[in-house]
Amino acid sequence: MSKPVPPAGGKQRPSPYPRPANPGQLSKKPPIPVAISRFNKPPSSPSISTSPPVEHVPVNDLVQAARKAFSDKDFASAFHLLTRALNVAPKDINLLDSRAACCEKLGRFNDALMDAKTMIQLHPQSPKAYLRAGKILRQQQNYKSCTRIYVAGAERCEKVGKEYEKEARILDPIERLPYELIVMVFDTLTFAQRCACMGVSKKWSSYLGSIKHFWLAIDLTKPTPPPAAYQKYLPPVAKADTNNRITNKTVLNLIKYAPPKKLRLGCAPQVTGALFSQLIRMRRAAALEQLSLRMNPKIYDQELSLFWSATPNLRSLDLHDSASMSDVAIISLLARCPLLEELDISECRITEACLMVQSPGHGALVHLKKLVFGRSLSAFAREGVEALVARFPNLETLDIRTLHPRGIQALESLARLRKLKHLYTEAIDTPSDESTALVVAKWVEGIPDLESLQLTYCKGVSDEVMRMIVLGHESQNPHATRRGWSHSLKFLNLSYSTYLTNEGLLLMATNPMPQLHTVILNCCGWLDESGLCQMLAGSGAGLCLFECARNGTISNNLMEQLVTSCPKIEVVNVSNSQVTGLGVMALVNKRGAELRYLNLDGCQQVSADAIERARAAVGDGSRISFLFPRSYR
Amino acid sequence: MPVTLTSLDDVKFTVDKDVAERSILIKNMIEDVGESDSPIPLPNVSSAVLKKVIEYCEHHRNDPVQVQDETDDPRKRSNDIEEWDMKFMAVDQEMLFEIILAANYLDIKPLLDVGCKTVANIIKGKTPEEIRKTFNIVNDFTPEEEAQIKKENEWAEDR
Repeated sequence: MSKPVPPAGGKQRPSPYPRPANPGQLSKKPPIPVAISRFNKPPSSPSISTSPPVEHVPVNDLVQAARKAFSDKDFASAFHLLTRALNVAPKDINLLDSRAACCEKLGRFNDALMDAKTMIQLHPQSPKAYLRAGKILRQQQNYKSCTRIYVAGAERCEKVGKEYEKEARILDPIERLPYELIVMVFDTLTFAQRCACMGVSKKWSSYLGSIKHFWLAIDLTKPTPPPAAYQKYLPPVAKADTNNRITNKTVLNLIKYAPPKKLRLGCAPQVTGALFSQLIRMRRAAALEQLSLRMNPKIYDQELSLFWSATPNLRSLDLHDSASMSDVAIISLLARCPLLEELDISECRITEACLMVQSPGHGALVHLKKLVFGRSLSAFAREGVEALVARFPNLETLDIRTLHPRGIQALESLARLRKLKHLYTEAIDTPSDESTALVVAKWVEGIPDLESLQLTYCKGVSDEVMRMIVLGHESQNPHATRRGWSHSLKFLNLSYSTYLTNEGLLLMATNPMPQLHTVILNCCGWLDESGLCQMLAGSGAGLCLFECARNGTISNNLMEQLVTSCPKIEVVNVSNSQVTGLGVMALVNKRGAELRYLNLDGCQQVSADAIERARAAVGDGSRISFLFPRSYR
Repeated sequence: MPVTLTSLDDVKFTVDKDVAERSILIKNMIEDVGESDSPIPLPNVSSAVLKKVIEYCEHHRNDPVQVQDETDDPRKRSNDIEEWDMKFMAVDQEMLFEIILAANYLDIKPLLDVGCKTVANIIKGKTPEEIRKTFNIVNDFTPEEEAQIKKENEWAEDR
């Protein structure tokens, strides 16, 4: 509380108030006392409001007396004395403030507020006026106006006092909530949002800086929504979410609070390799468990090789498309970071040699579960794949879509990865379809429970390969509990298999795959609708995603099959097909908003009207794509 | 069996036992004291706030008891406030903080969660200047400091 009665001039000093000797000035009645007297009628107040304000006692004496009365808690008489003083000096801010304080104590908030408003009118530059008004409004629980007053005051006054700042922060969550609740509030924000909060005030900045666990995971990437059910088995897509504003300085500034465990920079091309030397110098490397810095051409072997020796706890590393990094960095990485679980070094300037180094300290990385590996420009020989299998014996996910092996035989040794669950490949050369079938047969024999298989742009994929996937090799023990992967397979992508025919699909129809979640058969020229329908009837019960783009034989029959056999379907791609509006509506009406995505690009039989109705039926959460190449228009 | 609660300003509220027991504090009190007709004093909660809290508890009286899921990433649960809760929380900021503090005192975890999420949603997507305006916070940075911070946070724009 500020002193309610101002130290208005002691006896020694000359009075700052005008003497009542000038009656002409006093004849103008000050407006406030009148207004106040309307609300309240203290015993002697009529004499103030009605009698002409001729004051015979010097103002200073009145103020002194009022001060005494106030400190004696006799607020009513203090109010009186101040009113008398105000009749003489109606514009004095200290008198007004004191009288407002008296009214506040007496519980007459409206009168108090009126005095405070007069203060603001007469002295718009004085923080005292806003402070008084704010206090009264807060007691009246009128928080909205209270906030407005404080903000206006802070804007208009050059300097506000400590008390003002303290009062003005009444709505600041950091001032109000206990520590653990503040942590709860900020826990739900993303890293970027927390950083924005650092710029609110010094208090916020120091407070957030002191909450250690916020700074353990430094994530500068754009937040992504959690993946939908149907995306569960799709191989991850490399996103080029470039942020040119992330620099070495940005990172160094964020790691000052704690040694980070996670450092996710995403695609930040301005960051250079010098950052890694800095991290070592600042002792911020040892705790690091996760590092992601994608598509950065400025990271060189030297800095990285040094860095790995400072990060023995590294578990997850993503250096996708680091064009300046070569084998040297990978060799030292594999030697220095034995705990690695996830590694993405695709599209780096690496060769098979980095896996084949034989020396002590280059043992197998038994913890590695996930590997994304490959470079589109160099071909990978059988020895390289064998070295890969030997180095990473416990792999569960192997994404070698960017790897170009010398023929599919080079991949034969993958059969030794017994724990493999997800295998993604693309564009593998094959001398003949028999050799492909033989290699796949080896895989089926060696890998017991494959869940995801992608073999796209692979000319060797034929009905024989399908037989291996579904039934396994004939030579296999007929009494074995398992044949093929039909019991475990959840994701199957055989797009661009030009030699796959209906016969292969019939195998899927007669040997149901109960777990099957995703089937992608884009651009498979020999497949026609009847085969696809039978396949869906046999293995479609759990299907979430079905794609069969560019297949001219598909018509409404397939859509009806989807409706009857696939109760969980969420994504359908039947672009460039003979489907009509009827088929579309049958599917859309069955699944409604559960249908997340429907691709009808180039389906000439579907009218724009039907698309309109279908979009209305699935709602805003889902997308129906209906585009045509320019030549159609 | 109804329970009587007395607020800070001596207003009495009579509610059903299962409603009152949404608050772990009250639940423990009832367990400690045993069945009795004497009102339970809540000296930290004003009647206006207590009324709101009781309204929440009445609406959620049949909810299953929340099991704490430690593995759940807190950031993933940020936006999912139920519609009723969202409307319930559409109060002025003063009341919002009072409700949060009361939920903390009375130990009503789901209400506390909703309250904190609501505050977080207010902060979300705002610039520092807008946050200051919303919560009426005095900017105590010098212009140089502010420029420096702005530069440091440049990367986070449009995120």
